[in-house]
Amino acid sequence: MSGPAQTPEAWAALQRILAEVVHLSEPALSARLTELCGGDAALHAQALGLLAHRDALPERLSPARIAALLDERDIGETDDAWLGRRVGAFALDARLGRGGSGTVYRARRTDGFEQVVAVKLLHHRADAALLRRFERERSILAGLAHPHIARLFDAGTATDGTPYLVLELVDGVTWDVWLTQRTPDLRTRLQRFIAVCEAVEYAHRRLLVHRDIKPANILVDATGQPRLLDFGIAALLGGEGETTLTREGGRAMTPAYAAPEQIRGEPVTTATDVYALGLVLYETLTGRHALREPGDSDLALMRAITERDALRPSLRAAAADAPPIPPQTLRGDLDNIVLAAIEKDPQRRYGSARALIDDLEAWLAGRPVSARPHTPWYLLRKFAGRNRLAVAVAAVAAIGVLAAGAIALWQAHAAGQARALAERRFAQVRGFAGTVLFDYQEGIQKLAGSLPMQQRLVRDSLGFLEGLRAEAGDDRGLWADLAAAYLKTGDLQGNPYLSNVGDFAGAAGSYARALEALDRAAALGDAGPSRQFVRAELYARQAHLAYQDTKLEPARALYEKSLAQYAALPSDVRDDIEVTLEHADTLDFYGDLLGREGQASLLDAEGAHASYERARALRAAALARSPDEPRLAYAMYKSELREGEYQAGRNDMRRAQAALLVALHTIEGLSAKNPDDASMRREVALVYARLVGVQDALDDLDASVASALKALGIMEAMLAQAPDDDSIRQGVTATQGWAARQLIKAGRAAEAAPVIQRQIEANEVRLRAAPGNPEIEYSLSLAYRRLGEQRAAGGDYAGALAAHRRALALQQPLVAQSAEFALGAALSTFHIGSVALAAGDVAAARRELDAAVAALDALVTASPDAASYREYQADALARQGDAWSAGRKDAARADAAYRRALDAWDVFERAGVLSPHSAGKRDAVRARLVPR
Amino acid sequence: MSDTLDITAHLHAARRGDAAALDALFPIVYDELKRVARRALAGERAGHTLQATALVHEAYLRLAAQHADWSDRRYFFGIAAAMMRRILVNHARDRAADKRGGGVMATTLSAADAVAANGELDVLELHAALETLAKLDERQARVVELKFFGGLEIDDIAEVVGVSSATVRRDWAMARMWLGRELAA
Repeated sequence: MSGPAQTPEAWAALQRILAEVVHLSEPALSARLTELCGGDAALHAQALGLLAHRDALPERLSPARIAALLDERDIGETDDAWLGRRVGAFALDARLGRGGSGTVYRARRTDGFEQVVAVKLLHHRADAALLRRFERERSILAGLAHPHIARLFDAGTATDGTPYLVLELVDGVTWDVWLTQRTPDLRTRLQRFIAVCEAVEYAHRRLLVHRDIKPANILVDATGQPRLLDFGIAALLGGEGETTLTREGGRAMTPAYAAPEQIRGEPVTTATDVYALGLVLYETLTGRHALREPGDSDLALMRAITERDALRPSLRAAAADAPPIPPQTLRGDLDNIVLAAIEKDPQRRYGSARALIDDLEAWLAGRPVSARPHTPWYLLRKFAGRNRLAVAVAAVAAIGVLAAGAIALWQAHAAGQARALAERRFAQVRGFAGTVLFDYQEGIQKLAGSLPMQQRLVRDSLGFLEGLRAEAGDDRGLWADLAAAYLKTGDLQGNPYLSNVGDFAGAAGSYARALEALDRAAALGDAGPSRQFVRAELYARQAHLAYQDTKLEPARALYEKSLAQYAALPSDVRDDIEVTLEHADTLDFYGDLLGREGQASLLDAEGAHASYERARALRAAALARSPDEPRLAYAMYKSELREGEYQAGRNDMRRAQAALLVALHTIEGLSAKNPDDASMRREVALVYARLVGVQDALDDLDASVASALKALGIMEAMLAQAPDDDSIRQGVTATQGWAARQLIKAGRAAEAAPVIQRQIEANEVRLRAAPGNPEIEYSLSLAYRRLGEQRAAGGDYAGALAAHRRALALQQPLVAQSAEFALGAALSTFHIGSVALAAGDVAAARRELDAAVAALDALVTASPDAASYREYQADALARQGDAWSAGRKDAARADAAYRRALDAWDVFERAGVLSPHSAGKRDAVRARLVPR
Repeated sequence: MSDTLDITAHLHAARRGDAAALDALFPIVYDELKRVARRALAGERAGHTLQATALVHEAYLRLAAQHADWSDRRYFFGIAAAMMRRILVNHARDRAADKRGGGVMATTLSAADAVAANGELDVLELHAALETLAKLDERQARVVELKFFGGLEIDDIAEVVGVSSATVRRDWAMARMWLGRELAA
């Protein structure tokens, strides 16, 4: 036994020492402890061992524990009455466990076959509706055969009416137990998690949603393979059923793993499962739930799920005592992947489990991922038009009627009515189908929240098209129609560039069917230019799928095949607006592929740019022919913006500015014509925001300030229209920060004051909605820093000091949570010292700058690879040197600081990354150094 | 339901340290705690979350209203904290037994179970550690039971145990370190 104090006397003796030091903090604690132990090394070690655990035990029992009180212990007797009884063809042998939705028994067949299964008796009354659902769904669920899904063999009701499920018996432990017991490494965690995602993806392709994915529903067997349990059970129990907990309104969910839309009672889709997978991944990487805090009630948790943004996994892990994965490994791509999976708005999540798998596999293989961080730039992009929901609901209802009508009529046809009637109806059906597949589908895809309807549409369309294929015979017109219809259905299934239901394998199948149909039509003599256009579109679609699967060489070949089809079109067809739009888009996609970074074998920056230029030329020519076509004008804007970003990316800021100004002109024109379209105004703000950095790099501060103020004006107007939208407010605070910074930089500090005031207020509003959220607290502290800079620029040193102190007070409690926050605190100390120096308070300046340097030294020691820390360190050292040079000069200390600053910059120079700006600062410090 | 006389007798016996009497009281206190917890979870009372403090206090108020014999607040808190500990330990044992039964567990656990299985502190381990601590310093183990399981505030604990608040604070700090160290081993 290594445990200390094995007897009451020893424990009492040890306590006499501990009581003296337990409330002290370092360094006083160590000093006093050493003194008290008086050289007794064993005693000292014991005391330290105990002190290390002074906060280990929680203050109080968690609510989750107390919830165990509600576990129905007295069920035991009635439960056991089931033992030995028969349910269907099975005899119940032993109770395996009990959960919220039912009790599980081990059971074996009684009809001579050797089969051991798990039988789950549901705590759910068998009403007529449930039995109907059982009848309808059990064959579908029983058809789910996937290595990572526990099979459902059968479902029914026992003689007393209790509903039961017969399930595959899995010998294993739940996911969370597996993680804590086996502590698998990161790669193993991700690979097993991907296997779970694949199971989900497999079911989604069959249009089945799990609705209750959580660690307790994933079992890991002895070989380490995960198995997802209870697929479709939540659905089987019905839209209003009970899986684990019943809330007001009877909605089914496990609160901790419910998606925001589930809590709001909105329709559950495949995106709901993606969200739950994201939460499981969050926990798998950090060991902690994304949103649950110790002591949260279910209600508080549900509020958090709908209202709060989860902390980045790396930050959450950094705050934990013993994170399973080092936070620095999570920072960046893995953070982005997890956050993209748990976006509150289903439309902004990964479109499918497949997309999540793709990013995780890309990460494992060291390839770039698609998930984007929440940079201010990205935040601006997030304002999708949200007011379209009402329209969506109306359109979805209309589609439902149409689709149902089409199917019914087709079935009437197939059932063999009188021939004349059948033919007349068949024509009607074809007309209906055309309407559904072409007009409405295009409308529906743009609408938010229409996913379940789209899934329905795909399922119905495919059935319908299969029927038509069987009937088509030698009807070449019908084959050509079928090709176009399969193309549209494929788009709805999985065109990565349109709203889709995430069934990429299904999409590939539909595109292949479409090409077959085109071939049939061509063989029957129908191969006109319009068919060739469909063919060009199909190759491009296949290329999208290959690209998204990172099969880059096949993608390139397919894009080239598509472009060759476009090139071979007669010019009058090629000039058609629809054709031009698709053709130019394909050129842009091809350019993206060629310009893709991190793929040296393919990288062809010039080829990429040439492709963009061709797209631009096509759009420009078409726009000259049809100047009033808004889709062409918008396409033109995309070309111009792309050119601006391309030039900015290669650091040609002059060209970038020129292109962005053209883009701005175009989009402002479009926005003026569509004053109600929020997405257009967002685009305008986006271009202005892009211009801020470009014009700053060109040293055109006035223009940069003007752009920042323009962006700010648009954003604040949008916020005024949607004052409850936190994501807009978040974007507004970021824009306020840039605008204030540019104003101060341009010597217009007085104008910055009201902007900063609004920035502080906006952050305070956000903080009131999410008290204690560290990211918002930090964001507020940055607004105070801006205030400090603004006041210092105006010569108000006392006010500046107060503002920086305020910032520091906000940052200090956050320091332990992440290096980013610690850096913020160090920089606030640096600002305080700098302002004191400017104000002539040399003693305070020396004290604060010494502290700032010490804090930055610690950060650099902890993260020697972080270049930005060393930049700040050099700046702080130079300022420290200034402080010790001021007033009554201490030459030795000043020189030491200056020399350390010079050393830091020299390191950058040797690495070839000394910026001209830093080189200038270095020269200034050299000049100040006393020559030896 | 036992009648008033029985409760009175059991309460007196339990106060003298009769373990069987405590057992007889168990279902009454347990039912009450459960009822209060259920109401808290159902959100019947605004702002009432599932906290041990609130549960114990409310259960006390309800029982004291029913039987004058419960009116010794200190004594009730002592029983309630021991009850909470016992319920949770029994529950954890059941869970462990369910898991061991055949080495399989193919069930969807309730939300609460999922939380508990998820890296939180192991009640059984804490229980065992507390029993060891009781051998070294019985009062410290008692303070932990009252504070952690019963959710009592320092001043209430001081009243129940009959020492000063400062002593309770010191006991808690010491026991917390000792248990933390024990559970980490």
